Amino acid sequence: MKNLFKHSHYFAFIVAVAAMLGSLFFSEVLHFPPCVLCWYQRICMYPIVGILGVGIYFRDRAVYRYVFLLGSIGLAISFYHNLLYYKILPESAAPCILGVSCTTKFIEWFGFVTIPFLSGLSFALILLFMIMYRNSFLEKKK
Amino acid sequence: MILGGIGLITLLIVVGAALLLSGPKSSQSTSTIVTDKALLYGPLEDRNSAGSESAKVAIVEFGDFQCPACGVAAPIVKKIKEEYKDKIYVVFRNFPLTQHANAPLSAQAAYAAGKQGKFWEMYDQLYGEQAAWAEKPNAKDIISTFASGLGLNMTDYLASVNDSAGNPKIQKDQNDGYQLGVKSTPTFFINGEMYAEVLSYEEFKKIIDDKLK
Repeated sequence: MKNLFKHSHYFAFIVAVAAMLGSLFFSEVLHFPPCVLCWYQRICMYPIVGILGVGIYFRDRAVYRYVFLLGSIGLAISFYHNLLYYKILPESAAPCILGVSCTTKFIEWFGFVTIPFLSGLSFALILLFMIMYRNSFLEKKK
Repeated sequence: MILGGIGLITLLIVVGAALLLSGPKSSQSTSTIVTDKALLYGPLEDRNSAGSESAKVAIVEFGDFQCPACGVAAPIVKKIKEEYKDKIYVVFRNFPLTQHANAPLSAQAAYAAGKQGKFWEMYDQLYGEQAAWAEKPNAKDIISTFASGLGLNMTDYLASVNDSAGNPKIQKDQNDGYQLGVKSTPTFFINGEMYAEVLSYEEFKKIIDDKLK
């Protein structure tokens, strides 16, 4: 279990790479145009790949700090996006904007897995793995 | 501590976004006044209008029948139309958005109804029963039932709706919208002043009454 915690930053990196490639697959291969909120989440997700990659390469334990910040902002935007998407927050009185709506359903696997859901899940997993990673060496210090 | 930080950032962003994106609006016009009536109203032939063209107040709506916000605005527009009658001039222009798959079809249907003098009846029905057809793959059949319910000549109606070449009038509406700076639906022009939002009944009334004075 300790080993798992110690290496959890690798899992976070894998999730971030998968999220980045997945989002690029949706937009560049399947040609689903990303909406504004999707772009904001990409702004948070893509740098995580680079920051974590460099952090892992240089064995920089402090990397979790930067990932926390980006991951938290990404998770927050994703949370808001999901509230709109699943109609928990009303969007009806907001004008329909020229371009891509943030509530257009492009995919719906098993009836509930949608793009904002996947995004939220990725950010949550990355944050979880980074907490595990941080705890692994903080416990050692004690 | 960390979880608290994550929670705090989440809370701040969600509350901030909710306030910014769906908070109360000021109903201020957002640009300079458009005076080019030809550009605002479109060609006289087949114009979907109500009230009197010589009225002191003219309201032009750029709308998309599949847009939920336009659906919210529709009963307000109807109420205003009925209350002010010939004191105002109301023109509807199509602005079907690309993300709404059934928007061009519904615009064609309204246009076809307009050709038979039933535009506003179709307008009310399309917006009033938006949920019944907006996301449906068989929207064409559902809207056709509205058309037959309104007593339209179905041969003419279907010929217009099935015209695969599209409708140049709808295209013209949209091009004029682009020229006028329309970026969202519904966008209203009241005596040439742009309001890119859903105006409440009270807001409409205040603006109209001010202009009628």
